[in-house]
Amino acid sequence: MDPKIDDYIWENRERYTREAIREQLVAAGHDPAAVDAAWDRVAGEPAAPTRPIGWRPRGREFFLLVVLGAISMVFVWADEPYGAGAIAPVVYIFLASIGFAIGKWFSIMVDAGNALTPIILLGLVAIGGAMMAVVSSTLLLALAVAILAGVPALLLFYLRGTNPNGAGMVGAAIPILIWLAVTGTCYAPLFARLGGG
Amino acid sequence: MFPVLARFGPISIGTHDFFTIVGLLAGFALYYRALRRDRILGPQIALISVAAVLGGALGARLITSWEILDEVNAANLPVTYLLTHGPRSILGGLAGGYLAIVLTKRALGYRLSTGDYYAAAIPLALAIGRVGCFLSELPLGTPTDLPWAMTVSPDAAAAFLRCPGCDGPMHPSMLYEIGFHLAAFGLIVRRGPLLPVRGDTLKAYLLAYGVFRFGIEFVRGNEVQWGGLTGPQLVLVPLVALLIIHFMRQLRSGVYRMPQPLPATA
Repeated sequence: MDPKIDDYIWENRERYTREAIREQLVAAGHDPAAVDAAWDRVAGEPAAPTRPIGWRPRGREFFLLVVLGAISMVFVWADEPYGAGAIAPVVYIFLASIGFAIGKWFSIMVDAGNALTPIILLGLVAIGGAMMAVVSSTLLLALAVAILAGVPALLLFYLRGTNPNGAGMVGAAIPILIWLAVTGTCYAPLFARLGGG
Repeated sequence: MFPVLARFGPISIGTHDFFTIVGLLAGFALYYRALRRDRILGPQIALISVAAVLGGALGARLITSWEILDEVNAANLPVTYLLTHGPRSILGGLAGGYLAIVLTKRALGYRLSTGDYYAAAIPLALAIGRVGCFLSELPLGTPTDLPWAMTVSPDAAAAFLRCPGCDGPMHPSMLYEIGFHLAAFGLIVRRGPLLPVRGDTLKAYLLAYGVFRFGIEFVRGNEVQWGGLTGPQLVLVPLVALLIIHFMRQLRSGVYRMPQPLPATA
């Protein structure tokens, strides 16, 4: 074992390719077999350094915005048929809560170094969502779950390291905006309430 | 034209979908093999891969969806139609997948560049996927009288809403692309990483493909959208510009001059 080889690999392995590092070492007169052996040794150490992020569960901003969004739904959809004004806020709060729970759980698992379980679950959800989307009658439901639960979960997960409070606010606000923009059914009641329809 | 590859009772397997899935599987097999060789295959990589597929799927549907926005509005369809029936673009798939990888790595705090492990996988996947396009999509390209031009039957052309030039010989533009991807695949497999910096071989391939695809669009037969350019060309302008800026920065920083290791002692 030559520490010069190990050190060179360790110092450069994040920036340069294995092949380029090997070429440099062999050109400097090192034994190719010793270089390969050193690579296996060094690569066996923690290959992808991760920075611990740590989830700080601050759901106050998230749920405050969700409740405000739900209250606004009551007014916007008050005159809609089938009791939409009462059902939509409940569905929204339910899906947003699921999104928050998934985002929190996902963050805890990944930060603890156990990403396999979330991956399997994500794969199953993706397959289930795709199957729902294929059947046109459940397309709207698949979209509702994806946008109102999936988007906050992902936003909370992605933004947790930079700004947990901001993650909560963005995680709650973005899905409802996407939902309003994407579903044509929402334009009519919204415009009617704002005096445009 | 073979839009349907096989039928099993009520279930039919679309040619395009079949080759897309085979291409993805072949690409991922190659990717994981390379990661396993370098002993960096772990759960985090799997999570990044899932994000890449989801980001790619969304990007493929959305990046050129503005092309049919007017039709969707005119037909009073919900915007969700873009997601379910919008045009699919491999450029959007690449851009969406790339963005998803970057965001997921940042979220995970994963610093190691894994781009080069995709460098052989992506051209292989695209070459296989393009076979599906070639067998099921029209027009093949713009009209031409070159000796290798191809024609399709009037029945096949009638199955497409828009098929300019399908009544005569056309450029087999998908075959040009398959040739490009196979050449890139062969070069990368034979030579290994083309550049010493991690991730730059993939970026070099993407830059080469961007430039090639920009040129191919002139014989592709896609609708001109603005300024004499097709939708994919308009998307390619900023993407190629970003890649050029990246390589200019890399050259300026001198990163391609690797530090010298200490010489071996006799």
